[in-house]
Amino acid sequence: MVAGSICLITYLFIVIITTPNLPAFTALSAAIKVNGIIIFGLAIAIGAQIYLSYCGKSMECNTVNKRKGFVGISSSTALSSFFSFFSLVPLGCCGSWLLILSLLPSVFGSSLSVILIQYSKALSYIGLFIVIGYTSFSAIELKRKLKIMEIPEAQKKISFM
Amino acid sequence: MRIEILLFIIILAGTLLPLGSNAILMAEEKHIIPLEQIVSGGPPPDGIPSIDSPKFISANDGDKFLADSDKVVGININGDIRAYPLQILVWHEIVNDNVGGIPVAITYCPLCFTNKVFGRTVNNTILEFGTSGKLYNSNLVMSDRLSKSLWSQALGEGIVGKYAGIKLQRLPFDVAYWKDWKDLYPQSKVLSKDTGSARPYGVDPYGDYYTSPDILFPISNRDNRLGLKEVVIGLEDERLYKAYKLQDIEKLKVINDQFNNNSVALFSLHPIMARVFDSSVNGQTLIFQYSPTNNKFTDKQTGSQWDFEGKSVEGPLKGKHLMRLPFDEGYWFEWVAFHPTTKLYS
Repeated sequence: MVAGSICLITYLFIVIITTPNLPAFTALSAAIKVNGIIIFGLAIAIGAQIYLSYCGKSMECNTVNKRKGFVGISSSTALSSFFSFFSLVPLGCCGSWLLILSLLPSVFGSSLSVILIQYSKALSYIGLFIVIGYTSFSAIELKRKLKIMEIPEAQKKISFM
Repeated sequence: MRIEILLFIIILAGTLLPLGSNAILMAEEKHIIPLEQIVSGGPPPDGIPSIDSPKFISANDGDKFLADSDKVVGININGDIRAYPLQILVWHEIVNDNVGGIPVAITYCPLCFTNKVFGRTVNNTILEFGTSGKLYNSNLVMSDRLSKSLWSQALGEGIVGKYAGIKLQRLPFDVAYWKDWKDLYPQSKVLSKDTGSARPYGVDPYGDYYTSPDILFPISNRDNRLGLKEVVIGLEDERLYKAYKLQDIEKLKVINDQFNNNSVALFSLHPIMARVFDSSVNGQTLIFQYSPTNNKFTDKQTGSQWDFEGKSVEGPLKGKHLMRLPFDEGYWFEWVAFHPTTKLYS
């Protein structure tokens, strides 16, 4: 819950500081209107992932490789958010995101930048699906491990009897 | 690669840092609009760089990167014909150029779809314009590099600083599909992608903004007579304003009208391309009608034939020219935000 909220607040904070031409409430409602699925999807998926990790830890059962999982989820969240920000260009003429997009060719080259901008919406959804997929995988893994843990417990009970 | 990513992050941070200070305007400066209505768009002045040394290529070379359906701003001054693709303008918004010996600024605000061409000579001084990073009514605010005055693109007028209240000279221009422009003017030069800045030309960062009916920002005056993003041709004379729906001109091909006691004729022979003329010749007001047989216009008074350039090509007035009038073009929401008292042709 806390992790999801932090993710949500960070996203919305970036929206506010990059659209100074709009009152904060207007900027936020516009961002939610344009990218609502990404914003709330990421927040819920991240919240769920952290919750699963916490559950797994408290039950002494590691669901997935922690380091790899953290890197994977963080990168996907960052990329999904980054590409979804491209949709915010129409929030203001000469805006921050237009400037940021115009800097892309110096990092990725012109051709790749054109592709990244053209397919930014699709890329942001792909990022979201990766995060959701990873969280779902963690949930399935946790369930499977809990089941395995339950069997020896049951066997123990039988042997005591 | 890692250094490049680090540089990118530093540039990114650098662009966001001036946000706080950007809105500070000196209250003691001369201004004609409330200063609090000028807001920061985010980037610093010239963060979106104007093109100051434009290079041009032939129409044939232009074909290599322009599709027939790409839009261009076209101008013809003293026979010097040039096209400025919107796919380049969208990343720069201003081109400082000299066309036919006249210093001009070709400007474009994508959000309002306002395309405007201004003369850059003010009080015998040639100005060079850049983006200020500020917005007024969600429209581009330009700044001149000499006096640092701020200029509203939509108003074509200085709004803050030395030149506050000074109007820029508007020049006639066309917005056209590349196919139509090159057919009309195969000798036209085309702004090259070699602008001195690496930009992802060919992709529009505003995405589906132009086709979606909504806008995501507040506007100061909403008027339901037309849809928000209906493209209109706006005329202005002595603080009187009148708008014409571009689609109406396209459909009718010619509109004869009166504006502020002057007779005007609006012609359209190609999609999205309209021209406005003073319909008086030698003190006689002419009424035009479209002749589909030869794709020309005929005046009712003398039966003379006129082409899209406003030149009589046949009949008693052969060789005469109609005077072309400058106009504003943009989305309806922008036109009514700046001109709430506007009339609308119907």
